[in-house]
Amino acid sequence: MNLHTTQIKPKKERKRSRTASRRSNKNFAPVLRIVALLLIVFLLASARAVINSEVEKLNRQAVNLKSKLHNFDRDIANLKIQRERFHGRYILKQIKKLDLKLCYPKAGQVKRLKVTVSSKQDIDKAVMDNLLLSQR
Amino acid sequence: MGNSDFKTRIVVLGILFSLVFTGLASRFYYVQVGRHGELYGKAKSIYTRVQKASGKRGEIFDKNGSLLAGNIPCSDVICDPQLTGSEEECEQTALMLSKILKSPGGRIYQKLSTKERNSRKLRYGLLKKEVSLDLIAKIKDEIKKNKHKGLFFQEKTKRFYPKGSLLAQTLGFVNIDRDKAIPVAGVEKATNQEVSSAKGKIKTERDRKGRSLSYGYTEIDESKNGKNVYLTIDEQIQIFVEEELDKLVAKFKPKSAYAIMVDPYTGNIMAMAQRPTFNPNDRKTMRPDSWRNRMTTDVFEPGSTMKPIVIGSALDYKVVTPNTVFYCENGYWRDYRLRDSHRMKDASVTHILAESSNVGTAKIAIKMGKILLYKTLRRFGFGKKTGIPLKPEATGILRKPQQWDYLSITRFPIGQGTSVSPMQLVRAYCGLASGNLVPLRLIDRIEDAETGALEYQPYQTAPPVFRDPSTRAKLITMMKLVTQEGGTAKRAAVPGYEVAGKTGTSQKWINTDKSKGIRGHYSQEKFFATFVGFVPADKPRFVLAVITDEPQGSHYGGVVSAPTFREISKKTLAYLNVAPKFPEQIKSK
Repeated sequence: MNLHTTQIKPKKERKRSRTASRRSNKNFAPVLRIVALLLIVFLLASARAVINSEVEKLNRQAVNLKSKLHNFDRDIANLKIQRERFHGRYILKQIKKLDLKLCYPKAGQVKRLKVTVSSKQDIDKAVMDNLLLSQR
Repeated sequence: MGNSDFKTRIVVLGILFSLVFTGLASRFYYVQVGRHGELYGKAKSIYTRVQKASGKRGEIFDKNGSLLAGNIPCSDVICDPQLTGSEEECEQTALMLSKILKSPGGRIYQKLSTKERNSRKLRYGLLKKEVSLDLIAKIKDEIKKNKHKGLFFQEKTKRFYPKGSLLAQTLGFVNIDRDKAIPVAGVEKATNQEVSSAKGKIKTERDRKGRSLSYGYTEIDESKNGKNVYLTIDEQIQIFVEEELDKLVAKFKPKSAYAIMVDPYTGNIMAMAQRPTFNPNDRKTMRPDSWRNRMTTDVFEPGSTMKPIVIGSALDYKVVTPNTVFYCENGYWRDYRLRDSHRMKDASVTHILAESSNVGTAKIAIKMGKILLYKTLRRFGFGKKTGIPLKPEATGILRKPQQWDYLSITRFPIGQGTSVSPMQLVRAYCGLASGNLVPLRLIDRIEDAETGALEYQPYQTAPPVFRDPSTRAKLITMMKLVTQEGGTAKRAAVPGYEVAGKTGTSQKWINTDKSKGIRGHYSQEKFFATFVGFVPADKPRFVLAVITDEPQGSHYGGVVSAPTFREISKKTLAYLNVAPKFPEQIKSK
């Protein structure tokens, strides 16, 4: 009997030629460059997007604050006018209405303060003395 | 396919491509270069947001900085009918608004629920104009609570007079026409150029939703606030004057009444009031005859208040002395048809003034002569403007000597036949009080609200009214007698102080009316009751005139106007802290 046999030989590891290796190295560099470039562009775009969103957020806050300030301004203006309304004639009317029996001071009854000293402590003392004098 | 065919096709294709390319290029050129301006403008208007900014109208203060006219923030309540929801929701919103705004609910509901007109969608409905901030806050609370839809608030400011009717005719008021302030009268009109604000614009790039881009292009043309005006008026004194004028009106029910107080040395108007008056914040109650400033626009015959001016001038020209005696015709001078209220025979010039003798004054004027009398009246500012910035201003009627008839010389010195404005009369008395005819000042300073820079209105030099400085003292001594026992105005005397003044009771002239068969004549029923004086007499702090038109009950200046003069003076002297000359009089009272 004739037995046909095939000899099985283990494949030898192919050695990469030096030239092929050199070629792949050569291709890798520009790809890397492009990838790096794209990466930078991507990073820049992302940074821009992040910064923009932050700016938007700050802007919204600023607008909010501005509108709050604006409202405060309007409130202050309103209160200022209200204060002026309840002043002078209104007070006189209330005095009459509540029968407070208050009257204007007579001429010469009110004494003017005369401060003739220089240092602050002395001024305070002089003012207090004058106040006490005018209350007597 | 032959080689030549292929080449032809290539050529044709090339030409075609070239034509298309040329077409595109020319279109590109046309769009980018030819229509650049137009299209760029269109695009810019789409992505640019323009906000109008209007500055505040300047405020008006008294001399101490108390606000008399300001701007109050408010809002218009508006709605977008497309967003207001169903009829039921509109009903609820209308009910809420009518309660808070105190407006008819039906009208509000109609505005909220009318979503179309003439097959056009409505996007705007004005529910109420100029609503106060308190009410706006209430509405906003309700919106939050009950989720009312489609309501918006348009912020604005409106001119507001916090003191109501105080100084109303002098301040005037402002009408608003399409956000533009149109001053109608008073200081508002006189100082409109200074008080008006300049409008500005803010241009910004916007996003799709209309929000401004923070990093976009911004152009700001800033608006400017109007300047603030400070008057010479003192609010407290103005309150005294108006209080007392109200009492006079309540007691004598006149057609009108005025009071003006002026510092005779500076010409500063310290207070000026008029009745009837109005509240400039309430347009419904305003009537033209109440907002017209009669103190500057109307004229009247001054009556006996003219006498001190003529007598003072006669003293100055040495025509008479205080002791020169005239025969007063026992109360009726037949030649000139002139009558006195008190019968007098021989009277000195001092007595003629104290008793207000018409006959005596006429005789003094005749002794002076036409020319001197005319010169005197002109020198005291009659027939001329007073310098007050309020417009229009009447100059009064003072005819030239050539136009006088034989009665004129006896009538003009007693205040008949000439007419003056209340302002002119006060100014003439400033001349008597200080010796100089000062131009009247109403505006003290103008402040730039942004920089704080102050611009003072200059004091003008005032010509002396008397050639001899001693004349003033002589005349004042004589005028003091008017308010003392035996004078015509005892009721004007202020305890503790010497008052110099003069009463005036002038009949009103009734014009000819052919339709009613009336000939021009002096009325026996209608009078002007006047008192003009100054306190303290020797060194006056103010000149005060109280003029009452057609008072009921009494028509004498010494009865109607003099007590008002006294009460105003008392309060003002105390307020100005003027020490009394006779303190014992005050204590005994």
